[in-house]
Amino acid sequence: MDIAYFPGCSLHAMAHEYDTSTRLVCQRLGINLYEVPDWNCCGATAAHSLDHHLSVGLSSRNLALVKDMNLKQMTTPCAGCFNRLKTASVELKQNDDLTAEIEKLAGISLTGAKEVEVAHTLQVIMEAVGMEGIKEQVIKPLNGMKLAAYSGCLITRPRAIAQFDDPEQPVALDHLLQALGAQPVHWSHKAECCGGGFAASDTDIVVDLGGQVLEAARQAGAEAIVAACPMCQTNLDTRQRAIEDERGIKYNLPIVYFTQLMGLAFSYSPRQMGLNRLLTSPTTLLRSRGLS
Amino acid sequence: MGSKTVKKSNLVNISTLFTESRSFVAMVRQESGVDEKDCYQCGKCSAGCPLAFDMDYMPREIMRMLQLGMVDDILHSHTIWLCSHCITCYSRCPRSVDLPRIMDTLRLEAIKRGHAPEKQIKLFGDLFLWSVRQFGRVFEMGLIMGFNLKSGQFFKDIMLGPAMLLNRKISLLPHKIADGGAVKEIFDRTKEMEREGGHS
Repeated sequence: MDIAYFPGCSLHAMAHEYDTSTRLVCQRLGINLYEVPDWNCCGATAAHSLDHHLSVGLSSRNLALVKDMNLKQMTTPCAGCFNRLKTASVELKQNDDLTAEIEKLAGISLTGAKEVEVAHTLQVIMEAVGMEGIKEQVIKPLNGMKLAAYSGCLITRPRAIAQFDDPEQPVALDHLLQALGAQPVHWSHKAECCGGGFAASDTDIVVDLGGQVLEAARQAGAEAIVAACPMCQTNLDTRQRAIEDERGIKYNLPIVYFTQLMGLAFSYSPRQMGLNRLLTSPTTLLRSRGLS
Repeated sequence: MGSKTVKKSNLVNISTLFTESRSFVAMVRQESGVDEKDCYQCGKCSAGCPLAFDMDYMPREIMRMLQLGMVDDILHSHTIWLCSHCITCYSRCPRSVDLPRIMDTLRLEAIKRGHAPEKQIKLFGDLFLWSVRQFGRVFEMGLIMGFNLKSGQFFKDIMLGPAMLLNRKISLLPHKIADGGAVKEIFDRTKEMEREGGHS
């Protein structure tokens, strides 16, 4: 399967390990990723907070670049980019007036861009490969590791745009972890907000919301939280010390990308999966399951 | 009676409001594509909003204030800045009111009129977009340093610095895209269109 790949700004910086692990895992699964040449930032929350047309305009340029690659599908591992790219894609398909305005704005034709389908990488893996296909690749099962599958907000919401899984009780990530031999825990916060874009501008919000997510995972007996979004991972990992200070509880919960765990189960080393780059070290957990 | 903590919003004369603010409400409806009258005030949005604890008006109240045309109170509120766009409210709304979209529209209108009670959130958004316009992508390190300098918190998160550098979590130079002109053009034309009287 050939598919255009949109890493997004975070995966080229803070979430470098998410990028590397995604590429290696997809390669193993027969999903050929082709990075969109010269892609630009989706504008994230800042752009659609300022002007909806700016947001759709920035994403439309990326969709048009995919068309130039002669590909019809694009995937991104970032939930934020996914939300922006798919919103643009759905709106261009549904609204001809908007398309005309964006064409004027971006100075490009969007006829081909309208045909491009966008999916989060979790969706691509679950739909193109599925649980059985994943199981076939597992060499080192995760040995019942107790994991909190954290879908967060934007992979499944809004329902009409995301068109994937359930916005309140998502299960795709749990199924994937099961296929790797882990034991996903039942917990309350799998689709709750981590504070998202307020990481720097209002850190107290992230400490509060992130703290609730960590506490819920602890109460459910999770040994780590599994993320599918660089913002969720960064918030829960970098703010974990502040959250621990605030709540007076030592969580010590590694926040791991789902692709890193897939890679481990496919017998890549922890270092190849960039697990040494996490601030909350997963080494003790990995050793306890004979994975490090 | 006699409570000094009563909110200003509890004391408005609603009989004159609607006529005065009809055009504003119509504009919000047009720009957001959401009909404020769809909301029947069940409060499910507020019950599930993860940011409600920090807001001055509940999301449900913003909808009611919009229905009543309380433009000034809405545009001065912190609530419209604190929506994190998690879309929980919209997923649960029995009337499918796209509240995050309304919040975007209201925030933009507040900016146009020079209201930004959440100064740091506004500053961060501005710097983020400056970075995207300049490089075509976000330069995280520059963004964080710029934010700390401009918000006067010179040493914010400095304790994270060594670990982030050691784990190669931050790059010291921006990635610049080749066709940066195309991105700048999208920014500039959007602004132009807005000056020419907005888009549909």
